[in-house]
Amino acid sequence: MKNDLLVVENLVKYFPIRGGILQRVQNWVRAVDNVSFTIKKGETLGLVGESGCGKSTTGRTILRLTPQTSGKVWFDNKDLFSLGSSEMKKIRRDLQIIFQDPYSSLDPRMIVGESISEGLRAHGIGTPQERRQIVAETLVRVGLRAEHARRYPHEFSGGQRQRIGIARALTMKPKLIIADEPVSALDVSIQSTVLNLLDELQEEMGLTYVFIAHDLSVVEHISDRIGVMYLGKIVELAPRDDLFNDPQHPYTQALLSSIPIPNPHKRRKRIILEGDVPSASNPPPGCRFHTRCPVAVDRCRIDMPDFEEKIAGHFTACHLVEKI
Amino acid sequence: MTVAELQAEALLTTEEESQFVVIWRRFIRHRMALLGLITISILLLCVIIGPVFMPYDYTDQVKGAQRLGPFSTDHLGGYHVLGTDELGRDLLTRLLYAGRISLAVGFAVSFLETILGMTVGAVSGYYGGWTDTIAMRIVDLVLTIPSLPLLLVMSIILRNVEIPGIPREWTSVVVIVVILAGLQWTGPARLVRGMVLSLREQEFAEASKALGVSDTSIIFRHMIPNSMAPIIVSSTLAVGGAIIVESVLSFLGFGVQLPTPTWGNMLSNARTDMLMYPLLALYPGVLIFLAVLSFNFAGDGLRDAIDPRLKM
Ligand SMILES: Nc1ncnc2c1ncn2[C@@H]1O[C@H](COP(=O)(O)OP(=O)(O)OP(=O)(O)O)[C@@H](O)[C@H]1O
Ligand code: SF4
Ligand SMILES: [Mg+2]
Repeated sequence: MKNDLLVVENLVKYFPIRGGILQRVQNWVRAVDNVSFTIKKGETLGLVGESGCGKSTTGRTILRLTPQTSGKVWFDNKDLFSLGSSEMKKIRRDLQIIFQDPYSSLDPRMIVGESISEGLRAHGIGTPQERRQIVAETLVRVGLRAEHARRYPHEFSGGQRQRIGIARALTMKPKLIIADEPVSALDVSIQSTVLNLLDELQEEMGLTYVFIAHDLSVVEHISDRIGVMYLGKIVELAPRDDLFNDPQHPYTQALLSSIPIPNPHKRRKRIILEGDVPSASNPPPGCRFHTRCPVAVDRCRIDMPDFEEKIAGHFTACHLVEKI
Repeated sequence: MTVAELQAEALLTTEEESQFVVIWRRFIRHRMALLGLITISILLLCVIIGPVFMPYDYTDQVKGAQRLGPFSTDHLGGYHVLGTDELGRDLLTRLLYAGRISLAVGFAVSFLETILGMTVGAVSGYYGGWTDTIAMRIVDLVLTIPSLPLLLVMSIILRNVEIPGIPREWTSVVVIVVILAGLQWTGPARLVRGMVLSLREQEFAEASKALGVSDTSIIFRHMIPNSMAPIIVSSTLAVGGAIIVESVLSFLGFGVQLPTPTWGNMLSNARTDMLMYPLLALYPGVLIFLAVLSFNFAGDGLRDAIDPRLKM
């Protein structure tokens, strides 16, 4: 706990589905359902899962961009959900986010320099002159030029916009950055340059990352530990090498089997998952994965498996995985 | 220019400029809209500087020179291009002054309703929940008010109030402006609310929130600037609308009160001897028609120019 910069405990976020003429709540989208993990200072936690499994919602709830349903989050040993608005505002400097969509993440009507310095303004940091200086330096640091501050977002490419988004987060000198699929929308050719930038910045500024992706191969190089999400839950969480070499959960195994390996001798057997991901508003009882799990047993349809530390440092939620 | 210079210039154009140029180009392609804009400009020019060149005041009466026809000279040697009215006042002078008031009423109502509606709509859409529910109930309520009867009642009640700091003859103008704006802000409010509902879900709004930017700042620096295009269109249309309503009220005798002339009350005043002196009614009538039509054309053209997909 001492070394942990971020502790997420039983985080739950349900979205109401309203309907009827009275707009009553008819059901809930269980976007995030009992998610727990911790991150040490300077570490990168990869969070992986298919579209709609609740990765973004996890990030947004931690940042209090959307109110939690229940659960607790400690950041820097402070209970985030109990902070008053002025304390929360102060903490926002340390806790930043980078978004997936380089188009909607920048205000099209605001010049880039304004967008980047918005946080500084809000916290009353520096004079306008000093803020311009910070913006210029940060732009250069993320691989753009100082004079780009005067342009509008539409004048940049997707990759450049993503760098602007990174610059905006960096001006606050944050401790933790939640990077929500920062490269998913980019061309494969520029993905690695942005990933490298994030890597360098981490080293330079001692940043801690929650790195969200829908693909294990994207997080492989940057992550120290990786959590795999399925339908609002983390099903497996382990140090990167353990997860890649010794995946325990059938879902993780299936995801890994779909990544092509360059070495032909180490061929993995491809596991093809049948069916679609069930709806988050009507998740299956028992293990949420049982409708698609190739090794499911009767018990899986009734009992929800606990998310347990089966091997030291390696958490899994599956009935068939023995605790050692 | 060399290629390098051209490139440098291209880089220097900001979005505002280039967008403005694009909108302007699309706007002038819309011939009726351009015609509307030109008409509005001419009217504005005339009513703003025209009265300065007139030898008469709008209250000056020449005894014994009532209802002179166009191009006539009265017995004191005064020349009246459009003639005089039933009290011997120079018609052109009165029309110009009336235009000032009518257009001022139009712009003032449009400005007020836009500011009010925009603020309510943005706050309502941004916060959602109870704030939104209450604001939208109020909008519904205002929309169900039958405006004509209310206008009549209000203008009768408020006709003789004294508003400190405002000259007596302006009182009824202010009253009309406030009542009209108070009834019509619901349009822009709904418009902006709709825009903000989708804007607040955009990631740039979340980014600002994550940076610790206050809600007020997000509303005024992000939500409203991004809703500007439809707001400009609706406020252009609102100017014409307000001029029409003022004329209707005047016709019923409840608009801006004489001796302050508006095109509306001049028209309504002329109706008593409409058959004998049709020109007295024709002048203000044509001007109202021209102004309203111009604002509508310009507004429609702006709408198409700003966003061809936008339909309100
Ligand atoms: N504001 C909202 N209101 C209602 N439901 C929502 C809302 N935001 C997300 N959801 C639902 O919550 C679930 C999780 O969404 P989330 O965006 O967190 O998924 P994700 O893992 O980030 O997916 P992606 O890879 O597509 O970004 C989805 O079923 C989504 O439809
Ligand atoms: S608990 Fe059962 S259904 Fe769930 S992953 Fe394990 S084996 Fe499959
Ligand atoms: Mg997402």
